Amino acid sequence: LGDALVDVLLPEGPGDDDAAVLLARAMPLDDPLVARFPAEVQSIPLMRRLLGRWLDEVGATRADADDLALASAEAAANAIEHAYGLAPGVVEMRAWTFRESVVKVAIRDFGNWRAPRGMHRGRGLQLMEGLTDEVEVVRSDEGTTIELSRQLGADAA
Amino acid sequence: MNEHPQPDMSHRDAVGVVALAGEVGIVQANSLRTRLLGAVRNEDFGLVVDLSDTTYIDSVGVSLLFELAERLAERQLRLAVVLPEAGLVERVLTIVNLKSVAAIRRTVDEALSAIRDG
Repeated sequence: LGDALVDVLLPEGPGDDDAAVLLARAMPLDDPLVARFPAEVQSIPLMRRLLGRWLDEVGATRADADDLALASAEAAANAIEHAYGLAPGVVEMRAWTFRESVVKVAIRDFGNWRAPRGMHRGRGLQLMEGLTDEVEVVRSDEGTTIELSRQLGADAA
Repeated sequence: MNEHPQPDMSHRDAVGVVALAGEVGIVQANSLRTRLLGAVRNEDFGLVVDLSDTTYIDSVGVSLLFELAERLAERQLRLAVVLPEAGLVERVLTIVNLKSVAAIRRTVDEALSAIRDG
């Protein structure tokens, strides 16, 4: 139900931040967490806050949650800036727990792959790598997925 | 939550001091950029950017700091950044090696000294 509601609520646009936060507090989020957002800059803070809430629920420390949310925001920014050009698109965030206290976050777009480029995105990749244990980029005909992994409760990667 | 922080600017003995509270990221970068670059005065010795109350900084915010450092260096001015000892902002600025272009200090007074004594 959480997934379904989030899917319905968040594509309505950036004005729904409060609604999403209230929902997250009212009921536990699912594992995996799956949410889709419009591929626009205003979606990034929404994604971060939803993921931060979910990470709290699965037992992440403050540092785990801050670092993973930022790394995921960088992955999303890359998708938003480069996957779709000027056409409207969608970015999907999927987060799940994996084995003993590992969290994975996959940020997926459905557009055309472009390598991270420019100074912002070069630093974006640097931050993703610095703030997580593993960054994997998977390209396919349908789009690009950036998968981030982090062991919870360890010191910052 | 402060989505669009207004930089709090002042001058202390020919050094600009800009405090950025809240988030310094892709959402805020454009409006912050204009104000930060506008804070640079030729007659100053340099600029202090106070990140004590900054809760979040992403790659776009980081690039803004590097751009600021570059603009200052072109005019022979120094940049010092006030950074709390622990937390996300400190981790991010360590990863990108901000200290290669700015003096990192814990308080505004120390940052002012770094610029004057440089």
